[in-house]
Amino acid sequence: MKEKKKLTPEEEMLEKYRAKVKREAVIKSAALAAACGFLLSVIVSAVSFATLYNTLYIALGVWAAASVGLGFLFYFLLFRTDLKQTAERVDGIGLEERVLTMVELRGESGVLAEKQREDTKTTLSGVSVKQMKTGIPKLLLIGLALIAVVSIFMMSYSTVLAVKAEEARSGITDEEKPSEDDEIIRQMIEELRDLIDNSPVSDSLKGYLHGLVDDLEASIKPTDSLEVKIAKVSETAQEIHKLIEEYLSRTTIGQELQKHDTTKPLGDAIVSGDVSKVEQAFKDMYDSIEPHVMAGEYDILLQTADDIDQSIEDATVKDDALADALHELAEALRAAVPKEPPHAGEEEHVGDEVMKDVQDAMDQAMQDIKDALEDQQHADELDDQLQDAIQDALDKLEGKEKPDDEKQDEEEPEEKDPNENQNMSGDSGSSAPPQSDGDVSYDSVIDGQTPYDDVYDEYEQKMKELLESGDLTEEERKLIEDYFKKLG
Amino acid sequence: MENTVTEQDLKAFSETCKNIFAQIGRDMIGQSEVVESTVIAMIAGGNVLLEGVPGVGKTRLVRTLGRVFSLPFSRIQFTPDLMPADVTGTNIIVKDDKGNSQFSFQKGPIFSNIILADEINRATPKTQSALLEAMQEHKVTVMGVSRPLDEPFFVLATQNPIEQDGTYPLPEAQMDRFMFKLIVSYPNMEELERIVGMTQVTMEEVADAVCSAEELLRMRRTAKEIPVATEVMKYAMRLTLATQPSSECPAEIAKKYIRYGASPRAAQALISAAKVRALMNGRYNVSYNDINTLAYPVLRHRIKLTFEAVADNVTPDDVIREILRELGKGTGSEKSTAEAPAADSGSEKRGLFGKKKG
Repeated sequence: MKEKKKLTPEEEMLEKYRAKVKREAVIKSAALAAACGFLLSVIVSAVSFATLYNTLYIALGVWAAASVGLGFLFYFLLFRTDLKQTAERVDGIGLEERVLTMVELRGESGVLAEKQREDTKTTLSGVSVKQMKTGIPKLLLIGLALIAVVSIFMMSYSTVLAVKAEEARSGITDEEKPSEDDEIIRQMIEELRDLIDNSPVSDSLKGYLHGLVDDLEASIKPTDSLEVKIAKVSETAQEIHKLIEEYLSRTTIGQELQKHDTTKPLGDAIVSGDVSKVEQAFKDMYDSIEPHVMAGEYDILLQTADDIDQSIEDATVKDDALADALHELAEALRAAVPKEPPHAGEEEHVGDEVMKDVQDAMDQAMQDIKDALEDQQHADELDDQLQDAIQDALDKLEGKEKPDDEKQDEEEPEEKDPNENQNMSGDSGSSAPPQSDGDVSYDSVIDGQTPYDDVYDEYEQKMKELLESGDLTEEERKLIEDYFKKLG
Repeated sequence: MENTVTEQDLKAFSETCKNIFAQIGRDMIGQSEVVESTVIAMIAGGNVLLEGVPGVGKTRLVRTLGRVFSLPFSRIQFTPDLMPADVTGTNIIVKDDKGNSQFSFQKGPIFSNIILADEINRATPKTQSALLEAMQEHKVTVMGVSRPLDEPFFVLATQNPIEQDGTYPLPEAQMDRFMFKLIVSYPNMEELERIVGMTQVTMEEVADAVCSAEELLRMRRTAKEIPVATEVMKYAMRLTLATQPSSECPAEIAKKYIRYGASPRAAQALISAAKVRALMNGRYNVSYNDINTLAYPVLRHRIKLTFEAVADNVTPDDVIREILRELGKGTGSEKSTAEAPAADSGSEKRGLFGKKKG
């Protein structure tokens, strides 16, 4: 073990004072180093302030490193005191340079040196370490405190700004950051939207249901209690469930026809919406009926007619034109049945006549059904074109440059799958009437179209505005004018 | 450090000082600071210029010192018609036993240990200059022959700050040879009562001789051995240089108000006197306070103020006080014993820049 350095009498005498001076030197070094560290961290904070990146940990690291590193540096280069400096400090108590002189006379053994040492010792015994004024300048402490306050403020402020900026970059702001309650509601709404998206319903209905959810979100106020918010969500959820169930329970004439063996091919063709398939379906029906009729079994005609009427009756979504055509077909089939059974040997002849009537009825029905389907398709196409034209014109008028994704979102509901359209519109017939004037019923939404009665005025108004604006091309102008002429 | 001082020397110094002040106190009432400073100068081997109005005890002090120190004492009353030979002495023709004439040097009053140069500023500069060699080199040269003066040798001069008509201000060279310039102020009420009471009984001086020339010289040697810390020594040098506007470290006020600063003699005087003062106070080292206290008597006659200072009513003591404050070494702990009371100047007390003090 290293031997402790032997102290001279003078050093021994000043040991306790020297310890205090050393402590002060350490404190001063640490304080100054901390101040420098704070200044450096202010610089880092300023960088954070300028770049809006969170540098809190860097600033704290710089402060800690500078405090430690500079602390040692300051102590060894600036504040470390030797015995002479300690003596000067001790003399400050009022010892009139006795200690300083004593230190300078170290090692001397003359009478004066001895007397001087004794005198110093005696005087020194009359004072205490506490009397020695603290050598830490108040200015340093005040400066340090100020620098520390400014630095901490800068660090905090720049950190808050940086965090906000980072949140803004990631799309979250304090205002938008959901609370725990909001998170619950958000999840419930999210589940509702998932339910809508996953439901086997038309896009139009989905859009309508999403609209309900949008309305729900708009109706929820931040000031509402959690209970109120949940109640609003539950109410909307119930409505959505009800609509979906209703939708799922709805059937068109085509779907009803599919349920009967006699009318299934026709049902398939109508549901597909493909006009060419209708012809084939009638052909198949004719082929299935003919053997029975030729064998004198006319019940097949009655059965088919009954099935058609039953389907018309059972369908909850009805296209009037289609229904009329099918009903006339059913009546014609019934009428084709002979009043009396054919005599023996006349079955073939009667059968030919009956099948001739059946053929006529089917031809007439096939034409009517084709017309109904084509009319509907044409109306849908015109409607789509008009919607597009109106939207384009409105965009031009408003000078909007919407983002591509937004445009796509808006276009999505209009991009109808023809099959789905058929499915949705049932037999391409007219939809159910609105529940009230100006109020679009969900039936019409489910059918994928809005009754013209409800929107005609609005369309007409927009049409007039567009035509007057002069922003349309000649082709667009003609298309619109033709469309409204047809609507009459 | 070569140390020839013994315990007995230190003890004798202390005892003798005590006796000196005790005996002076028998004849002098009040003026303790002036007395102390004068004794310090005498022990340190310096000359003293006492400035004060008539009747404040300047001459009595010098006479008393002569008695106490048991030294031959000469008084020279300076007048405008006083000639140098009247001070130094002169060669006269004398006849020997055989009747041959020859020059014989007739010593003047300067050949004494303590010289009282009373009202020194009334003599012409020529006569005043007769003292220059004696004061600095302790010898007199007449007709090419130098004659040493007996040691110890002191000149204690007095001058009257008023009645300036018919006076000749001492030249700087002469002033610089005085270790101290002391301001003798009016006694206060209590001192005045005691002075009047004492002189009603007897006007005679009763102080006894308590210090011989040998003892005084031994005291001087002892004091010279008192150690001075390097920092204190440097401080004295800095103080001296601070009074010189053209030095490397002049005080701010010196640049404005001092035309010529103190000479190196001032630094010597400061250290010599400070050592005596320290030992006199029972200390074996010189302190900043010793330097600060003695700064006024040592420096006040050695700095020449500018016209601006005179116009602003700034006195040398004001300047010295400001310099001490600027250097900032314990100026507040002990009031300077030799600081001039402003009332002595006959004007109201003013601070720096001529502003009245409360």
